[in-house]
Amino acid sequence: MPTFPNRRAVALGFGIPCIAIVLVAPFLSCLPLSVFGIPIVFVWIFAWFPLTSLCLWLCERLR
Amino acid sequence: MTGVIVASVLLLSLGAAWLARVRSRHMSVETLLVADRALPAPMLFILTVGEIYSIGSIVAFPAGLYGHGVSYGYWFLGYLLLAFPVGYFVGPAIWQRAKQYDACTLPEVFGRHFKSVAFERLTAWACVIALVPWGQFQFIGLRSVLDTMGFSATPAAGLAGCAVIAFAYVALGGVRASTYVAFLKDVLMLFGIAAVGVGAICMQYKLSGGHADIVRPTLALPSGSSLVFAITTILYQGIGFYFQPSVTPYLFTARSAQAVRKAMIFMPLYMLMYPFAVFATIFALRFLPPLSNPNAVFFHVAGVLLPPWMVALAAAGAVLAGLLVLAATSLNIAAMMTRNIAPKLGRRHPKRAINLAVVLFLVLALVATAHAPAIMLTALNVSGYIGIQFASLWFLILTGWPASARIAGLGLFSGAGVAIALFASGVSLGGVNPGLIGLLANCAIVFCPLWRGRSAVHVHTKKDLL
Repeated sequence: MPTFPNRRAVALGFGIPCIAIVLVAPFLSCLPLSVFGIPIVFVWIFAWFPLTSLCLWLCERLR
Repeated sequence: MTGVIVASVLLLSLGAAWLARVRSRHMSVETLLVADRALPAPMLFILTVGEIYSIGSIVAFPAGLYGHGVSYGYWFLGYLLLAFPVGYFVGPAIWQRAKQYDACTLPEVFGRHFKSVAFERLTAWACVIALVPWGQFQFIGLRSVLDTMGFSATPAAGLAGCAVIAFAYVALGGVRASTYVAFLKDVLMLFGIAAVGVGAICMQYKLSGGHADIVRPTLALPSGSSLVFAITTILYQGIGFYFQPSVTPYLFTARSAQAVRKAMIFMPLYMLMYPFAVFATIFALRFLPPLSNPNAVFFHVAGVLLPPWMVALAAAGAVLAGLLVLAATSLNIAAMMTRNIAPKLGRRHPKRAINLAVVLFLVLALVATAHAPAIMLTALNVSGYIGIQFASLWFLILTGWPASARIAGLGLFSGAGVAIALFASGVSLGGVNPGLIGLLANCAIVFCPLWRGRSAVHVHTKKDLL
């Protein structure tokens, strides 16, 4: 049976990626900065592909 | 040569579907629809990414980025990335509910939870309305890829061939066959996108004088309202992604709740293919003449940078992506038609009825693609506002909130109605996604405390939920 996740797990697995995507990324998307031609907001989001997996993996460890 | 390579890959995919059939000890309706709820985490991962990263990843994402700039890319990547943490927490609970109600289709969960056959039928119709344009959209994507491959002279024949192959996947092994074919599709699609991306990086480095300097962005930056639209759409689609009728049924195939969680952990890593697609699009913007058809941007860059055999393999991956979603969607629709909408039709020979309904859907979708593609694209936009409204029903089920079938139905249709009315009227909302407003209205209705005393639905205790 699935157990209801605790607050710490939700904050780590959902809260942190959500802040990175919904709160931080919009500010970066307006900056005219780029790395090797890639807008900085995409560099940020690309970094969050493995970081989101890491957050979820840590969540699983917390269970 | 392109035709030979694509045909060989399609034959190989049929072989994979046949292998799924051979490996199945029996072929019941449950095997066909939910793979006997026996898929371990790796196979669930392959099936889900196979269905999520459809033909849109290789055609629509580069095209949208090319045409609309940063705001499109932020929305597309943002909502997918947000969907996986949501799926990690709600996915196991959805699987648990489907198992508890012994459900093979979404309406079965809704009908059995709210104890109403009429509600089951009503939600089945709503699911079909949301799914038909999505399945049909795959035909439009397949047509675009076939055109790119030079098969534009006989599009109807090409699409008819695609319909036959999609039916073969369903008939051979149902959702389990999709899993086997998805493995082949993932390998080819990852290979294609990575090859084009690496080629674009190397060529950019060469063309910019041998030093990879920091350059001015070539993609348009977002304006105020486009950024508001991107953020609200990320919230709406990211949170609602796993509640859509086009996605939720894949969770039913898992062996356990633990398998769903494990698969979700690795889902974001599959997105590592998108940087290559971004590199390819930026290469097209910086170094190639403007394209009249943005949908062709990825394969145009591939044609410039890669040898024909590699382009053909990438195109085969795109075709398989379209076929997989088409097969799974038609199976989903057929299951609801024969089990929930007209159960008498499939009582004697359920598998035969499902196969017949799949054929019927494929033929109708093929005719719609040939004769009314513009209407179907509008239908796709509208269906997007219906699919995620099912989130409110899942919120009720997962929280055990005591709402009746009537209230749940009122919320569902009010939410969809508000979203579609706002979309169709063109009222300025400052960029806020109409679907999000519809979902908020929907949730306000179903969770309204006024109904609590009148509900006859069993209230789940916390123990039930856990």
